Amino acid sequence: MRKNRFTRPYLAVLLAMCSVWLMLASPASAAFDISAFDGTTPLQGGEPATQAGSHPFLASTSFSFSTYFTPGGREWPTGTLKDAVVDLPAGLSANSAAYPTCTDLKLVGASGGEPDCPESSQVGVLILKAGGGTAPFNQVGGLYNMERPGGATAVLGANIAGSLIHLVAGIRTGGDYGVRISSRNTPQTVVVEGATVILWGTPAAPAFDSQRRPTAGPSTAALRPFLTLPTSCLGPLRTDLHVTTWEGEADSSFFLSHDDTTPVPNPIGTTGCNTLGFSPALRAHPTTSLADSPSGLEADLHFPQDDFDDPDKMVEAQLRDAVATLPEGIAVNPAAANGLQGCSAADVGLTSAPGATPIAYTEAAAHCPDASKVGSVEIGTPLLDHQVRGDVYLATPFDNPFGSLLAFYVAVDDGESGIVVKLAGGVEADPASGRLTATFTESPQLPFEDLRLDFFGGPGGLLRTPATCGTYSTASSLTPWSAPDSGPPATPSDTYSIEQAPTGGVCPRSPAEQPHVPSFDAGAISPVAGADSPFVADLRREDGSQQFSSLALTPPRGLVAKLAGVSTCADSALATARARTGREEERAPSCPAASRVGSVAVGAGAGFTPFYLGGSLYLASPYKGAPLSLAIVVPALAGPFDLGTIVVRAAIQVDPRSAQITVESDPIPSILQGIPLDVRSLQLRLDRPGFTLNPTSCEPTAVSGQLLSTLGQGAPLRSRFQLGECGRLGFAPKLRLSLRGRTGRNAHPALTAVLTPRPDDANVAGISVSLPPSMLLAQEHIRGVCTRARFAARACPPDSVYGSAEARTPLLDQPLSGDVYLRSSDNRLPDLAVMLRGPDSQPIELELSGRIDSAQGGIRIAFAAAPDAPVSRLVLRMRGGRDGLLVNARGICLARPRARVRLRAQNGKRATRSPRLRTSCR
Amino acid sequence: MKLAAAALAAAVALALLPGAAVGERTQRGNLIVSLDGGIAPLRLPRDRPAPVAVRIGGEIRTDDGSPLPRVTRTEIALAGSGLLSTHGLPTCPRARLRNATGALAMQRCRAALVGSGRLEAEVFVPEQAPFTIHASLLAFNGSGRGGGAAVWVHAYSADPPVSLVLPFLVRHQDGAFRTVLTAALPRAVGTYPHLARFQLNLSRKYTYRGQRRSFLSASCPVPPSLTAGFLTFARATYRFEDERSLSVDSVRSCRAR
Repeated sequence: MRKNRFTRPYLAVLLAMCSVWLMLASPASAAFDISAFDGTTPLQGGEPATQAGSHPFLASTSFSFSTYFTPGGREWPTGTLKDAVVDLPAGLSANSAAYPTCTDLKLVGASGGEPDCPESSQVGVLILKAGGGTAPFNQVGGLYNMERPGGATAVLGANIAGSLIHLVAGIRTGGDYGVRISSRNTPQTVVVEGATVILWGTPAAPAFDSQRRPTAGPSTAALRPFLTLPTSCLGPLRTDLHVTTWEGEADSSFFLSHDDTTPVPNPIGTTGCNTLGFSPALRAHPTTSLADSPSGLEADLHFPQDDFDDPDKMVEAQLRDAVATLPEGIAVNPAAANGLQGCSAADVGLTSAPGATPIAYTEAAAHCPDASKVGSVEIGTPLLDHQVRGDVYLATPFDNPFGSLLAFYVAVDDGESGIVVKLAGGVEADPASGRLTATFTESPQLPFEDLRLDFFGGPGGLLRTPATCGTYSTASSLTPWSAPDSGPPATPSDTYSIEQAPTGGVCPRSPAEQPHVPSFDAGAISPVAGADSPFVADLRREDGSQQFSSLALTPPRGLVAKLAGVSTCADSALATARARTGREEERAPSCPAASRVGSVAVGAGAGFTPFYLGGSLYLASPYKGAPLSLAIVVPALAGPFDLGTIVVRAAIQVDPRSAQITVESDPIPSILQGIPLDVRSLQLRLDRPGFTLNPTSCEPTAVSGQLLSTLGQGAPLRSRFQLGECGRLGFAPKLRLSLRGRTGRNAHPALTAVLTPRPDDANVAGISVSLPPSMLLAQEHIRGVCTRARFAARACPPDSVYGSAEARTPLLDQPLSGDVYLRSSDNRLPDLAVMLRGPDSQPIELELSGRIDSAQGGIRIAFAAAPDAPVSRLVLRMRGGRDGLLVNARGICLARPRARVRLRAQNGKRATRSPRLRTSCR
Repeated sequence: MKLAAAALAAAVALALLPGAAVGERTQRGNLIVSLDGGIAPLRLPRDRPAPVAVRIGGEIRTDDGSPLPRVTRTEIALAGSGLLSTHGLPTCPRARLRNATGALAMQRCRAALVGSGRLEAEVFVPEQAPFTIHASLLAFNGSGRGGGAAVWVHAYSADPPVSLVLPFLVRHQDGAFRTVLTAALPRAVGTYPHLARFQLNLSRKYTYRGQRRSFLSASCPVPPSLTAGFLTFARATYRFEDERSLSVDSVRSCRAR
């Protein structure tokens, strides 16, 4: 049962309790309840003290329980007090550290009944209303500031008729951090009908000398205030009482502060907030002066408490909300995610829902994992005789009071004072710049003098300093509890310099001055010609250099991929991946496993120990005009952070003349949800078994490319590439030439050439076929010649087609096929150009250009630059008849003609053939 | 007189230099056609034809280097004093020359050979630098449809290896140019080669039934009072694909004996 009462027109502060032996059991029929609960904090003249931050003359509070009379006429309370807990208004504080203490031994007293505590330790009076008689009677005792056992903020003690009564003060953890005073497990032999506690505002003041023990003299303690009113002006202050009895009953009550001088009780609160001072100072700067480096942050908020011990002056207003904005350039360092965990709502004891207000916690200390610790906190308060230390923990993303990606907890579990503090700081990262703004709201109304937060630095520092040198400022907006009456928030700032380049040398003053010289290594794991070997490209940049954006890589000619048997990841699957969380993508990749061709490792963050994100490379469908693409899919899981799934497409352009590929990536994201990716290294590894095939040439070449920075500056990439063991590759391709159609003079035969290389041989680099002189060029059949421009646009006129071709390669599931054209060239005669094209799903195009000239009176066709790619069978079919480009100068059956064929391998080997042209002659 | 003879001799010597296409020119627009040639010997009877060798060279060019228009028909007319005789001269069927190399053409039609020469054609392939085909020419006595006289001019290039036959049909007419050789350039020439220049030497002496004969004969019909004179020796007419037609005459001297 919970009740509120205004039975007495007083402002209350503290609870008092006493105990006597229980003489009779209370009847089961009478329900226990609190019959009265009230209090006041008057000035010396009796009127209510309302000035915020001031020190009242005293604080008096009293309560009583309902009673009943036995048939014998004795009055008993309706329950036997067990626990009593009083929650004082938030912001109302008692400074036990200001006065000397007494021990339990002295409280018992040597003279039997009278305590021997020093007079300077008396801070008030306890009046106990005992029951069990025909009428209640009061017993009065001094209330002393006791030695504080470990785990208690303050303890007050009284000796009432030889019984020691202890009131233990603590902090209401998890709520408003007001003072909670409790007395637990009151002996059942004590019959308590009620009590009044009077705490003196300045216990050493002579005004209280008359209330000390008759044998005592004046207090020798310094005149320091013991009580302080809140520094907020938020209306009437609420005091709660919670009582439980040994019989298992409970009751609660509360009262609001009120003015007793009016005819009707008039709730009033503290006033005069506009007169309170609030002049905090801020010091908040990185732990290093190196640019673009991992860093911690040292933040110190100082609140002057010069007048805290002056009973005639008001204290400084206390901090309510704090907003600190770090300068642009200081951002979260992804490298900090190494080994980092988040502290969950359960770990910290959060009881309010994520995103809900007010934020509430359990009273128990936080039990965040060590791996979530990102800093330490140190709090100095004049209420305690020591610094309170605690830790700063990273909150589990989205499972925190703000429901946000970034948040942290300040957790204090001070074993010495028993103070447990759990505060949450929200952090917003600008989604475009990563600039950080930290916010604390509803800070405890306690008089901090210093609040120091140290976020760990070192190689895995939580933050990354700006990339350029210069002067930077941390800004803040600090709002006291006295706002808005006290005016606008204070805005202290701290300025500091970033002075050194991370790797020495001249420190850039602007982004454009940052170097852009990435290191680049690429090559085959097994550098053996013709072997299938994983291919690795490794890209790195130093701290302080420009950030990666897009990448174009051109592996050497002949480095090819075996697409046969590899499926592609559909665009829809990639769209799905983009929309998924990193954890979802990691658990069940959107792309089919059959499309995975490699892996990617992304090193992110400043410092020597970047955080590595792992991902996959998938073969994807045609993209941006390219016949194929790669999809780089990286679940962005960094420690406790799940920043979604990064999908970067890279178009795979295939040079139709050389089959050399160029991979052109889209820009790599530089920031995700306000967290800069800060990519320091990128390793692409095409490691699907049998996927990449080495060239069969051992000529020195290079993997080349270009890396664009986020500033748009390009940096050339080049890594030497050379293979060995070319000599072990054989070269014995077969070429069959056949003529179809009429065989006589003036006939225009159709020519079919079938090239069949042996598997595992070196690839064909060039081939020259000289037809016998008896075959002339039928120039009257040369109708159309495709211009190079139209050929490049794949818009050759039909009359420029003179044949067809088909190539089968182990690299592809489907053959490449296409037409054979006459095409303009830089040679005397038009070239014989073969355009091969893959299926629509893999629209790879390859061109073969054959130079037409004559040798020893015969037509010679020379394909001088064939791609270094394995071909299992290449068929070239030149039309005959009216479309035939060849004409017999004499009948070919008379002397079966031979061609002369010269073949050149990619590894330099050569072969010569003189095949007889197959005909239909009998 | 000696001076005149020396000048004539010099002119003839120049005219006989191969490739020196310095003959008469006609221009229309940017198109220039020229004709060059001569006969040998220069000393000819006044009143009866004597065996001669005739050299005819022609060139087609543009004065601005633009591509040549394609010739669709050419006509070479010889002066009335000339005589083309094929009586008793073997003929070669045109089909035997088709797609034949020079060697094969000679092998097949040597008996009908009446001349030789060379031809240059400019080949204009779109988006490609023009190049020149150099072909050797062999002229063979032929027989047109209906038995009319014809000259098959066989052209063969080894690089690239192409072969074609230019069929000149011979007709006789009245007037100053009584013998006319006309050829419609066949489709066999193809789309891209454009006739640029040629030189053809026609000469064939043969014996038929005991009589010595010449494929070409000519006289020098100057008045009795003169020992030498000029004559319009030949006229070449080219018709182009754009319907333009240009003619050029070649005037040469002869000496009467």
